[in-house]
This record gives sequence, structure tokens and C-alpha cells, in this order.
Amino acid sequence: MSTIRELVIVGAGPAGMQAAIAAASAGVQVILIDSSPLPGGQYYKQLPRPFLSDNQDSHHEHAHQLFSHLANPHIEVMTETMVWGIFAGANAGTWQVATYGPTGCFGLETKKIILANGAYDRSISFPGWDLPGVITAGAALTMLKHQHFLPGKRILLSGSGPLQMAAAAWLIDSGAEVVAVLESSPNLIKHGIRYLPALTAQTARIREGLGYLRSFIKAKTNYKFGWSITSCSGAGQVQQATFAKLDSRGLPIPGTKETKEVDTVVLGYSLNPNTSLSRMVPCEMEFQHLRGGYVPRRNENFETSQPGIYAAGDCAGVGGAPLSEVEGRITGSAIAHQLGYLSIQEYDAIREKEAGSLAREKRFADVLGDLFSFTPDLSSMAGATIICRCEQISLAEIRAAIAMGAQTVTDIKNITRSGMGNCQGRTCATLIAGILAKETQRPIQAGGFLATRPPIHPVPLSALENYQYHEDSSVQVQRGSLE
Amino acid sequence: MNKTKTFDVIIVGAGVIGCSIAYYLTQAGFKTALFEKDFVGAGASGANFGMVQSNDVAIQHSIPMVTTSYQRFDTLEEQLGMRFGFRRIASLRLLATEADWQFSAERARILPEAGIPYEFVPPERIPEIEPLVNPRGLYGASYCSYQAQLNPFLYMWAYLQNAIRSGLELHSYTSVINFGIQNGVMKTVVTDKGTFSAGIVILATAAWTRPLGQLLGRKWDIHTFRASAMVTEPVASLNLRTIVTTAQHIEIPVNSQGDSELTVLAISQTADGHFLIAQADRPGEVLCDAISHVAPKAMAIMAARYFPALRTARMLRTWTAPTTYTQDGGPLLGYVDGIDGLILAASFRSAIINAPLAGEIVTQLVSQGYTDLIDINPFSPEREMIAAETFYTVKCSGKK
Repeated sequence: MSTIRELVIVGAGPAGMQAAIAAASAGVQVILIDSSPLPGGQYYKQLPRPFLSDNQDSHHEHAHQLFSHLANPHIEVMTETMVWGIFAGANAGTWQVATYGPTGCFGLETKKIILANGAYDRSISFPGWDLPGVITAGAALTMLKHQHFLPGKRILLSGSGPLQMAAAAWLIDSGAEVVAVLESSPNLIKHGIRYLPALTAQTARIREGLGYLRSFIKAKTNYKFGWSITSCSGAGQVQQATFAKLDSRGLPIPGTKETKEVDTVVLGYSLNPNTSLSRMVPCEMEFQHLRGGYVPRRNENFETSQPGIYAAGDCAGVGGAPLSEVEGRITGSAIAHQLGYLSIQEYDAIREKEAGSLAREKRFADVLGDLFSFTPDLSSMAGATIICRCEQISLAEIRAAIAMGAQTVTDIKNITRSGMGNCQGRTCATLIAGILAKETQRPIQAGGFLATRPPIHPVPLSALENYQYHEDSSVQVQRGSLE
Repeated sequence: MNKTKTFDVIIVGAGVIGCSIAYYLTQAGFKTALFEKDFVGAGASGANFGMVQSNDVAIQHSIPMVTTSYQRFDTLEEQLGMRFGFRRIASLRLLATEADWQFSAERARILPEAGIPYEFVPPERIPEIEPLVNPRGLYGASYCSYQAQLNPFLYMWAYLQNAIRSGLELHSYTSVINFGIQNGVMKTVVTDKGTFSAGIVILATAAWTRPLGQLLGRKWDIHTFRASAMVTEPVASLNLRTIVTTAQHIEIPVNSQGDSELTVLAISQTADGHFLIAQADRPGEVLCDAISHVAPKAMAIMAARYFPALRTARMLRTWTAPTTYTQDGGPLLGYVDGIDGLILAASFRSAIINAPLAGEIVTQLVSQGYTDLIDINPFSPEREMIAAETFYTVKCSGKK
């Protein structure tokens, strides 16, 4: 029989690293898996040697502390490895984690799993969004901070929230000409004041925000509240961007349109929680508007509806790195307690110690969620606008499916093939949910969410052919009697 | 106080059969509701390759149903006003040994007489029909040109779109939890979203027919296994001309001996170039749609054995669905004895090909109480089943 592992953690970002450290320091044997060459996730991204820079981020020191704690004999880090599926295990109460890495496909049987696979940039669609030169804020920051590469020279940013502010400030400081920063959400002005108390003890964030503002003031940046990009165009590459002021429903106000010459457009409409694995298992999902949509329902130990499967950090609702780290520490400790490495008193003491920061970070995440969950209304777009890029499905085709009687995003997928491509709806699923809600006059959660199927990311047939899952796995070839 | 909503007919199950019945009933003017516990096509109807399959007919009684229904496809897209990707395509079944062919000998004799061409192909002719297959070591193949393929989701929605326009109420994500029967007459359907009444209730519920029967105190002789499939990214460099299946299968334990994937190869290519690869069958009366971690491996082994060029193709998705079979290969079709107003239309061996006729038959049963399209007596829901052809039962070696 195969070895049964104690804990497999999917994702070595803030939540996954903290969970691994907390569990391992209590004695749990941990396997920490990440698809990147080095641990860190998006927030503490480490670049391979040739790309390393000498920059000193504000969180540089903290990150290095985390990395040094990962050097624990109880932690085995598997990098450049993706998890493509989670299945029922061979033994009662175990799970089978299917991986694909440099040495092929392996199944790991484990008692506990922590999903800590983070979040990814949310995009909006508009005519021309699929042109080269249109990138996300996360991509712009990776190019700037880690590869010392300026994505363009004349740049327009459109989005909502702190990620695009960070991207804009970095672009300005790196010498790009930022033609405008469009903050699409009206909520910062409408609801902003009442959230001031939530800033208590968020000094690092206030300092970070003020730093960005200083960059904007110094460069006399055109920062517009309640505006959004509406289209862009160009020959084989983005060359012009058109934007407009939005009304309270998010529709462009006629007569406010402006067009600028640009070579790059950066979109930063907050983040989508990466729920591809929790939906595949499947874990029960619940709709949390302030955390990015459907996320796995969790109990106070961050365990999902599937016994033994936990979710920590942004993959269970976007809340930022500090919240992810607190959740990671609690989840790792909860599992150490479940496996008998921590007594209930020891676990309670850890929970009590984390209670203050957990409450504070949740409060702050709710504020960000409310201020920046706004997306422009797409309904006035041309029908030819592509919504699902993998399968090249247009807005008109989505509307036709709704007219046929499609009631959910799943029906739309089945009729149009939207979300059946390589990414299984990573980008288009939220866009389509928005279109469906608009067309049927129902709340966005009524459209449901897409199921995902293994493999979560495409895997070559040859790798699946050699999938190894326990030592005695053998193939018996028999004469067929099936038709 | 909620007033119970009343329909002429309630259909349970929005698979291909339920959608077709909904279409024909609404065209005939019946006030119809369709209840589906999940989404349209969530079961085997949406999980298959859309094969419009004639050669898999249960040869004792199903030939008239299959041949009559197949003719409907000549005009069906036109009639429904929507393209659902229908195209005629032959199928080729690779035979490793003479015994494999002997197994199909009866088919080869009976089907052509019924107008379904079914012929033996010697190995040297295989490359002529399907250049991608390496014929080395093969005894031959069986070839059936009287086949087609379509997009199963569009097929269901083509029916539904018309039915909805004619007044169908589609209730997705609505589970039937009980039935109300008074003096042997079906009166109401109890769902998790409320109670609805109807003069006639139709179960087009495939794998879920047995558990629903238990609510009615019936033990319908209908069984399930899980069938899996997968799809590759488009492979533009390869062009498969037919739907290829194998007679050979492999068996790989999932979590223990006795819990295995039994995998044959069934492979086809969509118009967009994706390869569809099936099928891994996992025995057991289970209604779960979670695929095993071994099914992708099993399907990859079979695909690579016959189509080595596919080794470099990337797999996009795998899936599984509970599938039904009956001991004699026939569906359960007709009124249920002892419960007035209850019709079964379940466990069609090839639901895609039979859906048009199933819709017409059930509509006749509803409107006039009998059908004159074909003889459905052999499909009586309460019949004694005689195991006709051994290959319906799916058993893995560990369970013998």
C-alpha cells in the first residue's frame, strides 16, 4: 500500500507558508506544493537567480523570515509542481492529491489538505480588451518589481482598488508616462468616510497608500474617480484607449467619452478567489460579495464541507496577504491539533493569540471589498465583443443562449462552449455571471458558478499514461467483453 | 397559503429523452413542466460524445425503434430551427482476435437484414478507412456506416428552446422528493421547491429511476455504472475520419482489487479538432459523478496504444456520469401498471438516437393512451428481464 501523508498544502504563498510553518513546528509532516520555481506566491514572489534584483521591498525582511522557517525537516517543498486534481483516497477518510511536476504525474494519499492557492487578477471585457498591450495590474507589477521591465511607455490604467494604485505608482516611479488612472468605483467617495475606524492599526497600509499618492502628486497624474475604460483599438497592438464617466449603475454617461493615444492599458479590477480546486472536489460554496463571489463555506477552523479539506487565504475569499497569513497559521495549528500534535489547550491558546489580528484583518478586507467590488456595466458593448477568449465566444452568442432559456452560467457554458477551453472559465465565468444577471434582472449569485473538472490545468496525455499512485499499481490487460 | 400549481404533464429529468418529450408534448398543446434536480444534461446525456448510434441496438426488440428514430434526423435540425452539429460519420471497431469478431457475428447477420449495414473489415483494409490506426496485430475491424454524431447539449437545447417558446416551464435545480398518489392515481409531485400537480407524470430519469421507484414501492430492474471520458486540446495535425472503438479492454484497480476501471477505447474528433476519448467504466450502483484518479490514466493508456501521436496532446478535462443498463438491453417505456398516470421513459441504450421517437411515443401515450409508431410491449416497465447479450453487464475481475 501507499504511504499515507499527514498534510498536503496546495500553494506556497502567504497562507500556505504560514500554515506549513505552524503545522510543522508542532510536529506535522508537511508537503508544500507550488507551481513556481520557488515558494512565495504572488505576494512574496521570489525570482530565479538570473532575475534577482537588489530591491528592498517593505515586506522583504518578513518574507525572508518566512523562507528561512520553511527550512524545517518536517516540511518537504515540491516546486514547479501543479495539483491537477483531488480525489477520494484508498483508505477511509483520506484524499488522493494528483500532481504533475518535473518528474511526471504522481498521486499523494493524505489525511489532510489545505487549499491555499490564492487569487488571480480580475479583468473586465470591452471591445479591444483582447489586443496585445492590454495587461492586468498583477502582470504589470511582476514585470516592474521582479523583472525590471517597463510594460510600455504611454499607459492608461483602469480598475478599482489598491492593486491598480500600486501598479500606477510603480509605473510612474519607473519612468512611464501614465496618461490617466481611472478608479471605476464610486464607493470610495460614497462610503469612504464611515470606514475610517477600520484603518486603526493599519499604519503600514496607510504609509503605503500615502506613498502612492505622493507619486501621483509629483507626476501630476490624472486620477479620475468614477471613470472606466470603454474600448480600445489599434492595428495588432493597442494604440488608442477610450474612457468615460460612469453613472451610478456603472453605465458610461453619453458625451463624457475621451480618447488618448497609448501603447499599454493596465486593468486592475480587484481579484478573483482561485476556487478551481474547491469547486472540483466539490466543496459546498457560498456567495460572499465582499470577498470576490462564490467561495468554499468554512467552519471556524477553516475546514470546508469536505472533512479533511481546509481552505486558507485568498482562495477562500479575497482578503489580502496579512489576513491570509493569520488564516494560514490558524489552519496549520487546527490540523496539528486534529492529528494529535497539539492539545486543545495549546490550540485554543493559538486561536486566542490570533483573534485580534484575525478580526482586524477581516474588518479591513470587508472595507476593501465594499469599496472596490464595483465593475462597470458591460451591457452597452457591441455584440461582437469577445467574452470567452479561449473559445472565442462573443457577447452576442452569450445573449442568444440566454434568449434560448439558459438560466445559469452552466447552461451558457453548455450551449456556447464558453469556459470549456484551457482555462475552464477562469476569466470569463465572472464576466458571464454579470451579463446573465443584467439580462435576467436577477442578482449575480442566482447564475451559480461553473463546476471544474480534472485536470485543473492541461496535462499531456503521456504524463497521465505514466501516472503513479501506489507502489503496487499494476495494469491487467484482459480480453474485452465490453462494447 | 400556496396554491398548488397544476400542469397537464410533469416530466422529471432534463436529459435528451426528457427534453425531446417536452418538445413533442408542448407542440401537441399540453401544459407541461420539466423538473431537473441539477442542470439540463447534467447526467449521462451531457457527458457522452453525441454518437447517433445504430449498431449498438439490442437486436431482439430495439431494431424498429432505432431505424425509425434514425430517419427523423434527416429533417430534425430544420424542424427545430437550430443546428446542433449533426453529421454522418462511420464507426470502426478494432478487433484483436477472431473471438472478438465471433462475439459480433450475430449482429453482422441480423443488422444488415434490418437495413443497418454492419461489415467485417480485414486488417489490410483498415488503413484505407482510417489511416491513423496502425493495423499491425489486429484481426480486423467491424465497420458501420449508418451512424452520426452531434453536439448533445445543443441537441437538448434545440428541443428545449422550442418547448419553452410553446410554454414549457423548466425548473432546473429542483429535486423530486416524493409523489402524491390517491386511490392508485398519480396526483402530485413533491419537490424541494414545492408541490405541483399533474394528470400525468413521466419519469425520464435514467440512472435515478430506481431510487425514484423506491419512493413508489417499485423495484424496477434498472442498473447503473459510471462511465468516464476526456477531451484533448485541438490537434490540427491529425484528422480522424471515423469514430474508433476497440473490443479489447484493460482493467486498472482504483483503490483496491474489485474496484477497477474497465477501459475500452472510444475515440472521435470534433469539428474543432478536439479528441474525445472514452470510456472507462467503473462498476457499482453509484450515482456519484466524481471521477476516479485512475480513469484519466486508463484512458490515456488506451488512446496512446492505438494513436501514439496523441501522446503529446494535452488533456483539457475529464468527466464521469452514472449510466444505466438493463439485463435485456431494452428501455423501460410505457405506462406503469397499478399507478394511473405514471409513464416511464428510461434506460435507453442509445438515448441520442432514440430521443426523437421516444418523444413522439410518449406524446401519443399521453394524448391517446397508446402508440401506433412501434410495438412497445417488449419495453414494458414491469417485464421479466431475460439476460440477452452478455456485454451489458459490467463486472471487474476482482468481484467474480
